[in-house]
Amino acid sequence: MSEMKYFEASLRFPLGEKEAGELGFSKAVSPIFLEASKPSELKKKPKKGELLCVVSSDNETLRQACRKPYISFLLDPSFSGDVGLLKLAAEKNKPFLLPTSLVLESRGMRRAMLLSRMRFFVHLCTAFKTPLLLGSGAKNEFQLKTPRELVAIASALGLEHERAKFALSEQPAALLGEKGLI
Amino acid sequence: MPPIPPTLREKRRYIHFQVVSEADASESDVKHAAYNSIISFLGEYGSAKANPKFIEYDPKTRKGIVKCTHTELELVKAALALVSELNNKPACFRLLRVSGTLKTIRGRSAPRKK
Repeated sequence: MSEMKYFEASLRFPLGEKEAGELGFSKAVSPIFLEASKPSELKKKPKKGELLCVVSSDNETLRQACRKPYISFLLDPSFSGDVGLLKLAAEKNKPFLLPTSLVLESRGMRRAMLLSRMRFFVHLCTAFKTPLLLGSGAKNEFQLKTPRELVAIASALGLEHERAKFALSEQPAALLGEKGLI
Repeated sequence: MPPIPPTLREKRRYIHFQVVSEADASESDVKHAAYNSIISFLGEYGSAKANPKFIEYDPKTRKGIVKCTHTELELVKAALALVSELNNKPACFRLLRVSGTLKTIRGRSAPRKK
């Protein structure tokens, strides 16, 4: 695993970029998380060199986000797994983020339900070849995870080992490369 | 009783980890946090298959070792990575390396070469 370069593109605290570097990531960035509940809220454009992630549980909003070239990746916190949306995301090559912080922040039955939804979401993404992006989505240093830990959690979610490594290396590298960050 | 032949023995893996926390934690605190996370993530049946065992923890270096079966290694790693609290304070387990023998882990305190 040490030969591959890993990238973290989902930090939610600015100081994490240095800490993530110490954990084995080649580059870590904090994107802009745009929370939108309807398509009209997608007007905000990122500045040069910034990644924009649209966070929404509304499938129509996420569909519109897929069609906008300035949006880097998507996050559906409900992991609803809308087939049309996943097919469109695969066609437009828009990755979906799988943040481990959501799992860390939940407990008991709520965590079990979330893991179940995430497993089914990963299953659908594998079937429709929708790109996935692995990340910690960390809000503090305790939520930061090393590449090995993220791969282990992704494996528990049903993602194949090689695909999990791809979602942590080449997939974010392509996003960062587009923005000229690497 | 004759010894079990090596081919029939359960293959084990040792996970070396480090605790990151604001508060000091004793060996029993870390042991409980690790076991609780494994049992809540894998359940009773999964834990039985994983056969986890807490080997040791050094409060000075904050490093410890957990043993499990090789087939359930990824799940046990995920369970340890999902520890988020220790003594009601935010904490996490950083997984340092995995080995098939205790000798290798105890012999290497430095992280693996890149």
